[in-house]
Amino acid sequence: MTVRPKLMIGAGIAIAGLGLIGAGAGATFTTQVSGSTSITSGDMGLSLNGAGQSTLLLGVGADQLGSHFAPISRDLVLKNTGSLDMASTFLSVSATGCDGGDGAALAQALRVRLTDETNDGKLIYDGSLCSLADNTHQASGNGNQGFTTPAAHAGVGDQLPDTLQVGQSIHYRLLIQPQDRAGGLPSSAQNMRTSVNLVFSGFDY
Amino acid sequence: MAYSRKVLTVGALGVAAFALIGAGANATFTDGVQAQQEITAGTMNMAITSTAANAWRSPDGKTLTLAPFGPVGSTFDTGPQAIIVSNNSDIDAKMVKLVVTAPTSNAQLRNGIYVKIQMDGATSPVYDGLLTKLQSSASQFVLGQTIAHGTSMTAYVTFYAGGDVTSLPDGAQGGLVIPTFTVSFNG
Repeated sequence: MTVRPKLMIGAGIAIAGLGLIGAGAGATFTTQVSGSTSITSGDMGLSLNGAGQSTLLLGVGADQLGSHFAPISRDLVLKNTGSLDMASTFLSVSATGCDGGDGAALAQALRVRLTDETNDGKLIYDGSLCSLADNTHQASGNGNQGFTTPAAHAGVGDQLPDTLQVGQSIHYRLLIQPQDRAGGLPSSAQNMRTSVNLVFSGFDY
Repeated sequence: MAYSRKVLTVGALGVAAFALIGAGANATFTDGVQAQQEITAGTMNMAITSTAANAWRSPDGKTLTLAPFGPVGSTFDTGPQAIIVSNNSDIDAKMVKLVVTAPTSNAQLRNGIYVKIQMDGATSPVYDGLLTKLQSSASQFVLGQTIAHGTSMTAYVTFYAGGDVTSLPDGAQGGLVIPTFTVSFNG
């Protein structure tokens, strides 16, 4: 009677030992290494004449102009205020009246001259306002003049000839005058008004 | 009566002597041999490093930080950056797990980044796809890869966007992402 309990205790210890061996067999030595980096994306920014925007709205009203008005001149200083170089810059022009309706006679009687004053007044465009504002203008490739063709991007106007590095500025000059300098504006353009909208865009590629 | 007592005493001694002889007759000559083997447990010692410029390695050799890259544009390519994992253990190490994390301030940036991993000497990458899909797609080339003790494995990692794949979207501007690869080994 005293032997049996000892045997049972011994067997219990043996089973517990096997259990520990089993647990040990399932474990492994482990270690790990890691590698990391950080990637930051830049941002694009344009300012026009020092303001944090790239859009200019010009109102041209024949009610304030004579038929032989002096050319309207606007200096446009476009600056890259972002952290990325701009591989391409674009100018989109729209003008009310170019597609008919109010102001059509005035808009269609105006001529636009755009020059790059940073590069010795290099001519970029000299032609009718409505031709510049025509959506099919760059697609047709007709009359692109100093613009870059084919344009790198669609739907943002005509591609300007210059890239724009970070912090760099380019000084453009816009001149609006009658198509017929000698004859001036037609009488049908009296008391009309057109709004000319210029939108600059920049791309990093 | 005295005689009888002596006879009985002698008789008892004789029986006792026979009993001793009998006990001796059951013994055997014995000998033994034994085999002994010493088993020492190895120590895992993996290290990571890089030949890339300005890469930083922690003092224990377990963590590698590649130089920051950027600011990047919508199209970028870091170029291949060598990552070398050395097995300085006295046992072989098997890769069992790859964990990829990419904490970011801009989800569109993180989701738009591609990563290519090419092993040294290989003609094609083991992975070339979105960073966000790396962990789930990488098990087939990670699991079971063994680095023998005393050897190393070199992989070239390239992060990129644009070109033949989609460029970063406009909303990815001004963001930060920190891709981190952690590889676990068993030995």
